[in-house]
Amino acid sequence: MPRWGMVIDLDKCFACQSCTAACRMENNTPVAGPNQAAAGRAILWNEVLPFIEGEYPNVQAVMLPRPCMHCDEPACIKVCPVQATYKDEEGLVLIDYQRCIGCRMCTVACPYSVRYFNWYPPEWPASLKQHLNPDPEVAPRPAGVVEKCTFCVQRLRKARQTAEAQGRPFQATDYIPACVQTCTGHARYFGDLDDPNSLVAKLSHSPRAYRLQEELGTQPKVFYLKQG
Amino acid sequence: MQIGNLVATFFEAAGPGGVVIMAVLILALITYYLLARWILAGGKEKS
Amino acid sequence: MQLKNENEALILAPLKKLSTGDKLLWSFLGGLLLLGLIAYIRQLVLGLGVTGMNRPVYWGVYITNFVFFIGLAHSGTFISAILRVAGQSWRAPLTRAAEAITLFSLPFGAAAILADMGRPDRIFNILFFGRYQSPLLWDFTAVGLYFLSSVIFMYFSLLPDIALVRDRLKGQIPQWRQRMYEILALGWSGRPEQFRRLEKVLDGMAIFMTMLVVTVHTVVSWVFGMTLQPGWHTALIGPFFLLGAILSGTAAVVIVLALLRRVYGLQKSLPLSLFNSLRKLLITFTLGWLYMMIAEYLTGSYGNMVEEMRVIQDKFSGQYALMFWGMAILVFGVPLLIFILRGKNSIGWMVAASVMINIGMWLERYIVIVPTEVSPRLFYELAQGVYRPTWTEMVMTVSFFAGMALLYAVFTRLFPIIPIWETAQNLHALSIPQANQVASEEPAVELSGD
Repeated sequence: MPRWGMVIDLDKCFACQSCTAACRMENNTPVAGPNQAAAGRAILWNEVLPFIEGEYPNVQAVMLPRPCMHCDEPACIKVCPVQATYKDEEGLVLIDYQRCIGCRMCTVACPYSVRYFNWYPPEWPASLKQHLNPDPEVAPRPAGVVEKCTFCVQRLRKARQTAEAQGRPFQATDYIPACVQTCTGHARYFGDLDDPNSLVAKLSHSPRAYRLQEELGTQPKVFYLKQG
Repeated sequence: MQIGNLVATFFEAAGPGGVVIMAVLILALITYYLLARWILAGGKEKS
Repeated sequence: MQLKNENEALILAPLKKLSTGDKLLWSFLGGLLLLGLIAYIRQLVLGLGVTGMNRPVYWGVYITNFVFFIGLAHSGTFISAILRVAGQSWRAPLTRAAEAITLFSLPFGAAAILADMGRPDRIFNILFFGRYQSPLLWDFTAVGLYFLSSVIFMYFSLLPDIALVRDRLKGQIPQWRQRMYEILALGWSGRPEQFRRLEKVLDGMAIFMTMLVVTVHTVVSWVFGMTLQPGWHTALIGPFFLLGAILSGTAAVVIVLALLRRVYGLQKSLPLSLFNSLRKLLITFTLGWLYMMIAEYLTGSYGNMVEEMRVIQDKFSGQYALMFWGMAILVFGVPLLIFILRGKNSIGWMVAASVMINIGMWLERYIVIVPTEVSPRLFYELAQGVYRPTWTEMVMTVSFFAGMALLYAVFTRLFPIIPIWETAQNLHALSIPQANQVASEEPAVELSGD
């Protein structure tokens, strides 16, 4: 079974936020609006975090795109009382929206703050509402449940179905999350970490590669290539 | 090895937890019921 | 044989008639409860967005209330079970009043959780799909067992008095109440062997409940302690919460006793010496709590780890400084001074200190929960979260307290709040080991002064 992971090259990312926008369109995350966003209610499965130090002209900036880390030892699934969040055999950490009771223990347990909660029923401005992704896997979630980045698992399913329909074996390169596909700077890579010949496997062993908060033992599967 | 796996599955799978809660509460209820009966039967003459 | 309690008439007096004051109080409290219900229904319809919670502050006032009310519950068990196991017979007049606190605070702890859930309609998923790896399941088990056991413990210790009320108040109370006592008395006839068995069961349950008290609040703390968040992931959190619960619970007992004493004229059954004994316990617990706080913050700040210091500094000198130091003053500063300098033989001062302790402890729960969430691990370099509770959360909080007070007030009009049988002068005549201990010291009601 493949073990899906992501590599993000911080030298190539210039924080255009296309990944964040593409993620929203692909996964039907609700729009919070400026007031609710200011109140901390925005749902952004992928977020670009600005780590900025210093004052002009001596500014050091690291713009860090942050999807879900899809940890191999996730802190979130340990604490879920009903197994509404779980890790599948391919290493993806997913959520069963029908089972989630909205206790939000997973959201406080995650040390990367990648999990979001639907504080109210989902809304979109009229213009966006016409362009929701019709895939049932990403049907809008109701109020009261948790959601987060799934590495676009619906695309995995579609890729497998397409391969089967075309009578050929599924290849890891058939599956690509929206953020990786959209990235303007070609900074994001995705693939099977267990395949020694895959790009992500090779990049994850690069001397520039690091992961966030590795000391916590969560074994995140999103690698960053150090800037500079 | 087998036991280790069994224990791990017990904790991680969905379902056994609910069974434990129910079992504990039902056991307690039964115990308290029997205790109540025992208390109230104190000193009754055997017929 | 008959147990004789010279204060029986006094203790039974509140059960005979409702005053206008009662009706006013109950209506007022009922009104507050209703407001809470309305606020909750609105929240169900509009979503949890009507609260002030957000990302990263996913847990706020509701969880604070959960921890606080479960903590209050420990008062009853402490007085009735732990002191019983320790052979402290002076506790006898207090036990039922204290257990009633437990009985009526636990449901509102549970209500707070229900209010906090995103999908309360799916609560039974915990039973169908429960995972024991989750601290929430440990919570559910422990609190559920604790509640069930508290109800039964209270009921068992109430049995002889229900039978007494059934017999004594015949003709003086409405028919439906007479019927209620007859059913609830389970045919108790006061045979010595029944009393002996009852005492045995209560002794056994007291030991069990003592173990439960330790388990319950430790398990509640582990909902926080088992995560990796700074300020929460500390081995000390179990004992920390436990001692805090016992402290706030014992202070609550002082308040309730003073109220009962005043409202129902129970000075003879609840003498000053009781308050002096509680005073000594409170000094011990307050100092113990101070020790915990010092251990926690000294260790954290000495280590100087970045994410820990963010939270500690927030509490010591940042946006939560006012609340933190206010809490410290309310929980130890002033109460300790009061206990040592003014508390002896003064119920007024004891109540003042106890009220301060409970307000401080509510703030303390908030301070444990919110500042940690406001400075999450990954974001400490970026910006802090903000949490401003909304009126929905305030109204719900008030309604929880009102609900607890209402249940308590109604209870005191239906059942004798002082155990008549346990404070009977001739309890030792039943040859019960517990009573024999009493006989070898002094009668249960009169206590050696301090």
